Amino acid sequence: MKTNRFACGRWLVTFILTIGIGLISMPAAAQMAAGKSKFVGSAMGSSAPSNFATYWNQVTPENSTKWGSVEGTRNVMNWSQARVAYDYAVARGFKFKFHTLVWGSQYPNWLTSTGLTQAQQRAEIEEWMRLAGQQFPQAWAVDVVNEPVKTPMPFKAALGGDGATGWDWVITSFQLARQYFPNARLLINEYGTENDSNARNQYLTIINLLKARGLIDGIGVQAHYFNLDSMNASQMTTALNAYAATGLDVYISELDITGGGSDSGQLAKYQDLFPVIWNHNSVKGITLWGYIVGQTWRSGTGLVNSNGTERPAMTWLKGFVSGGGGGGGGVWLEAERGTVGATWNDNIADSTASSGQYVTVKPGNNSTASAPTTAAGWVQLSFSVTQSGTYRMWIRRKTPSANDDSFWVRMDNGAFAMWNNIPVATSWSWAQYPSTFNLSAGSHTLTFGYREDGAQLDKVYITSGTDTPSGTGGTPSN
Amino acid sequence: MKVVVASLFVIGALAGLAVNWPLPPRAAVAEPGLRRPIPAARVASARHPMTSSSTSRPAIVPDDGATLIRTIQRALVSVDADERERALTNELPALIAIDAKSAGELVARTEPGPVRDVLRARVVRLWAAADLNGAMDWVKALDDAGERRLAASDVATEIATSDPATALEVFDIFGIGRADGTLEHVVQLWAEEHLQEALDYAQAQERSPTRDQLLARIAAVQAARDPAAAAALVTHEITPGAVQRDAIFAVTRQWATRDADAALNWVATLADASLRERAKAEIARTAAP
Repeated sequence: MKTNRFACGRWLVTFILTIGIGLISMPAAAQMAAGKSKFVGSAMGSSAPSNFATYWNQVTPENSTKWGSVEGTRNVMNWSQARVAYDYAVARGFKFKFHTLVWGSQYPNWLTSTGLTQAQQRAEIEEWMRLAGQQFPQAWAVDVVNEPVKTPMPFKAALGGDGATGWDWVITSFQLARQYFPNARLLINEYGTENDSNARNQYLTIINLLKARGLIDGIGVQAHYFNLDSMNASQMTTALNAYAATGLDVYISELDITGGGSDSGQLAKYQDLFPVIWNHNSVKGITLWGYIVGQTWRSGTGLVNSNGTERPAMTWLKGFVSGGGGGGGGVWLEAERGTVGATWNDNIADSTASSGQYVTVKPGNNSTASAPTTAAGWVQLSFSVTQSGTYRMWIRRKTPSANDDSFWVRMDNGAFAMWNNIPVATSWSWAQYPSTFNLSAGSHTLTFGYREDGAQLDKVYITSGTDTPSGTGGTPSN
Repeated sequence: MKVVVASLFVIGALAGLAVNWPLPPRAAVAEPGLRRPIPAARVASARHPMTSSSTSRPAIVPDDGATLIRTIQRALVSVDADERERALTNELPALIAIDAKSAGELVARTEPGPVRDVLRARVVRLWAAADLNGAMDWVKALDDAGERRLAASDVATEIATSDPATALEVFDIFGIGRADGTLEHVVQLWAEEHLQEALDYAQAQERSPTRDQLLARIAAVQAARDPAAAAALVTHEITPGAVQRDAIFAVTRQWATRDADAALNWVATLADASLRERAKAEIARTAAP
């Protein structure tokens, strides 16, 4: 029988503080990912920073739900700090992730140093999981096993050891977690796989073993600075695509970036990598590993100074995530879902097009000297952005020859600009419009006029970021 | 609204009791000090600036410790999360800068429980960043062994943000982080960033089970970059036994993902036949499509 260290009175203080604070200081500002299809959260330390909900809409306790933090003394459970994070998240409707059940670090020292038999260790592991499941019934997800590839597991024998699969102890851990956290998404978590294909393949081996048994719901990729600082967007895409191939959801679970330590270096690295992560279809959420300078686990990773001022990367991040208003970091628009003039062929079926359809001007219609003057010659796309700023535009198109490689483009009631010499592409690919748009917050209309009759338009992406779209892009907002 | 008002009274009463809970003074536990000289930055750290020209809030004038203490005390019993957090992020660093001991005394006057846990953690981390020896002396004097362990862990955590070698000394001085994987994990992550530094540190330790554990973690990291060197490390530097066996398997697994033949050649040199067979099986499993 476990006992709790704190008496009822102390629990009462915690409870009242939590509820009282929750009632009085609910966040006034929406988090950057509020209303988006994916979250942006942060690790939380021993207390909830007052500006937490200004930025984040998901909570992962940094240390307080690690076994060694909860049960430093055998059979004495201290959930108080974990409850701070949990209650904070639940009160606000934020996703709460339990981190972590089985890990080869920060486990109770009595587990391996007091002569427990494997059977006794197993009983303790199961009891730990059972009590954790009871304590956090509304946990959205659980990191069942942390760092199975990178961190040796001293008590894996109690969970079946390597066994026939090489990873029996991981499988057993997930089976137990499914039993004790029946309503939570079961995740695995690892570092150092982002830019190391060998480590990634080992990780994928474990993931596929779990997937084959129906035990895993998502993949955690830690994405710490000591890996990301030396990576580029292409490498990140490669890593994410490898995980996406499993068909499982991917979560960036402990993101931090130093960029060499300077404000500009951190900003540049965020601008390079974050859009790739955010816009990847398989990535369903991103958690930063702390954000307040001086309170993160490594110096140089913080984004908000202790006086509340933001480092440039934080300012950019907010604008990037919240600015687009679409499912990703920008606005995605299907061309065929706009107002398509009679001179265009609308809703042409193509299984390789985004949403299976695209538009193209009807053969024989060319307007090379000036833009069409009536709506019959236009495709009009309405969208809105929540923040003013400079926006870039990309189109997914086919421009099969030098005689079929142009459109006329207009934003709102401005003048049409000729976009000619778009690189030739006989299959769908993305091309960036050479100019930018200064958009105010609110509604806008983007208009394409036909110029050459062979150009085909599938999708449009408008973004305040510097990211490059890929594949069929993100979820359209029209 | 009635609920909130009632809560205010209850919180005020309970937390007021909490902050003024008296604790008897206690002599410091005799523990050794740091072997290595503390970097200058640790004596007067710039990591936690007390004021900033870019802050939007009024600058704190850190010349009145009593006022700062009163402000922090008031904030600790406040139901306004912003006020509490402001006190912990603004006034507390200012107090640490002018009179860290009084911040420690404030912790001692706070009733054991969640409020004290949060306050202690913040005090210790700020104090350690600014004056490591001062923070450690205060931690050593803590009466409760469990609290001393937690505070020491906070000191080590703070130092580990930028100086893993000194953090490891802190772990060692307080006898924490052993047998729970923490010490090894600090070294492991150190090796991820600065392999040679971590290796030099571990190899400089006296032969012991802890040293073997540290070397095993470093070898696991090294195996991803230079498996031959990692293989030499685990066979020559780690004492034969369970730790060495696990380390050999970890290196074997890493090596096999990169070059199964080379891994097999190395495994063939292992003297222990059972170890050899198990490692071969590991290679076969890892290298299998």
